Amino acid sequence: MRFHDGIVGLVLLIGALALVAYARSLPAMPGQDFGPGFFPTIVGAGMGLTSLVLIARGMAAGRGTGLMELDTGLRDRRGLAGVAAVLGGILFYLLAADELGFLIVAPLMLLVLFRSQGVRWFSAITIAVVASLLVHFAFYKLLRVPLPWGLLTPFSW
Amino acid sequence: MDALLTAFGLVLDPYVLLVIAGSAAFGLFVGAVPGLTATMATALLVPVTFFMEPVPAIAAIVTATAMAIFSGDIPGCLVRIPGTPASAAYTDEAYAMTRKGQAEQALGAGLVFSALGGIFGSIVLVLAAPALAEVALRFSSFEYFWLVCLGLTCAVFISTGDPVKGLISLFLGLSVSLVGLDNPAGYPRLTFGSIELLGSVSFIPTMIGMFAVSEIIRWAASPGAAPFHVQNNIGNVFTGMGRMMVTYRRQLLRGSVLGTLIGALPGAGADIAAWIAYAMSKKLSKEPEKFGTGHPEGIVESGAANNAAVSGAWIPALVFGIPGDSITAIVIGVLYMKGMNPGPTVFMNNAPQLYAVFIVFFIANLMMLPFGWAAIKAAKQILRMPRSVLMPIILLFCIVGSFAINNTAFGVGLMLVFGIVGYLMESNGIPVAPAILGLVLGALLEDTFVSSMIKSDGNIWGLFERPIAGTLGAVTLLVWFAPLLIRTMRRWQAPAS
Repeated sequence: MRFHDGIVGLVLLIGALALVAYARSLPAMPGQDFGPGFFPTIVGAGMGLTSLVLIARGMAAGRGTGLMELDTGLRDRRGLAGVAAVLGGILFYLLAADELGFLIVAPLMLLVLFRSQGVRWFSAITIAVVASLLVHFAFYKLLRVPLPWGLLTPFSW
Repeated sequence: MDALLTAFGLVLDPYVLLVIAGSAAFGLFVGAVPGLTATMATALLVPVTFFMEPVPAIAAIVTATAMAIFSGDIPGCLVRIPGTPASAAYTDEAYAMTRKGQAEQALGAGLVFSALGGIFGSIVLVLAAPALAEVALRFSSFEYFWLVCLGLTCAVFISTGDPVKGLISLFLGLSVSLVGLDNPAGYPRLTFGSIELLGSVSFIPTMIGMFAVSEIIRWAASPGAAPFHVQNNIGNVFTGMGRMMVTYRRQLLRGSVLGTLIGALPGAGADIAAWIAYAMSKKLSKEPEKFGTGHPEGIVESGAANNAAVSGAWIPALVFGIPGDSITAIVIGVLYMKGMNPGPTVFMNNAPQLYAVFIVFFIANLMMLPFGWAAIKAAKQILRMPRSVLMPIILLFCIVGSFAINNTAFGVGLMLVFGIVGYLMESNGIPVAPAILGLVLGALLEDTFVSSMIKSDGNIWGLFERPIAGTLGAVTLLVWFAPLLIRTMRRWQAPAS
């Protein structure tokens, strides 16, 4: 997803101004010239100046390139579904893993991702289950990462 | 001497050797699959190595990255798509050789000269790092401040053709480094009331997001790529390599030296080394007209350069804690986690472990010959593997890996956010490397500046009073203002002429 330089610059400029404003609100250190707000001010100022250059450059270039350009894949249904599946899959894991447990959430996430890429149902289900079990075994058993059990707690091993 | 013997003992442990073999296979695979990079291999390895002793953990990263940088050549040569960005410079050349029926020679040159370049870089690392550390022992906050400035400047100017976007990337990274309690005042900044952010932005989930998840988003956003089909059968790749080593000995040396140097410069890694080496090879060649038509000369030089760069990048990382490329940026995080804090004292406090790492560099580059040969043999199968199955599984790895560092879902959230940030940066032409350096070095930059100011009673000229600091400072300012100066001088001269 490509944005016009002017837009990128504008967004960054707003961020930079917010950072400087925030930095000015930090307390000074008694007896010290350089308190916690000093470095953030410098970073914010630097970011602000650079984004001004970018805005100026964008304005000089004009509207020729369009304000926003989508990746080729994002223009068709399958590309959009693919990206939605990746981002949605991570969000789903974040929100549901503790409640439902890794061994329910992970295969579901994989299944949706496989299907969004056109993997056939049978392979999609088999690989989703096997891969989840393998990852669970490697991280939970071998590396002792406490992956959540969720609903499956009574059956935990 | 004792330390060296202990080091051999540490490496020749069956467990460590098993880890090295496993990560070699992993690195070769990741490098050979287009869309997966050596940095991504490192980011994905960290959660696994998190639970290991320091030596196997670092050995795994050293081996996997060296292998991945070589095996990126394989798909470049066979299907004209580089496996990692480090092979992009000579992909067309290698593919042209394949079309002429010389695939064996192209792959062989990639393999043999990768190994030789890697070994050269390792020798320089072993000789230069301890010597530099002797000097660095005398450094104080003043010198470190300028070194960090110089490193960040390098990252902005070398890693990109567009310094404005490089600077934006740097400031983004520095902004993220502001988060948390880890500043000279110990004051919580930009934490938005989150307890998780008090301890600053967790590094590994950020890296997994920036280098792996962003790549997965890009893959999902690109139209359904078909699996690659390799037509050719590949014969003996080692035929004729001896002769090539004699013919192109000068190119080999030149590429290795250049690669090591570029690797050691902060922010520029194997991919930039390969581009510059290829361009230089063409410029200095006796037969530049043959370049682009399937001529091994450029492959020799840039193939050696990118693997030399992998080793060279460790020099500033180990001695000063300033990463030479994005791989060593992650490595620095790992070194801290393992109690091998980078800096000149690591050569005294952790000498056996450090020597063990050096030994692994040589083992990895020597192992590249048989393992790389096997990877070339298996290339057909590796490239046939559908990415529609591979990428979702890698995503699951990313999630579990981000979770495993602190055992909190917060890491997964960070990974998601930085995955999107990395994807947006890359697609808007904003290079990622300066941001990573800013993120890694932000705290050091602020720390060294504030402690220098405390020592000099707030006098800014104190930054120039010590001889080495003064020199480094002058060089930094020169690099900052030279372009401006040259432009003014040109403008001033133009009307006169």
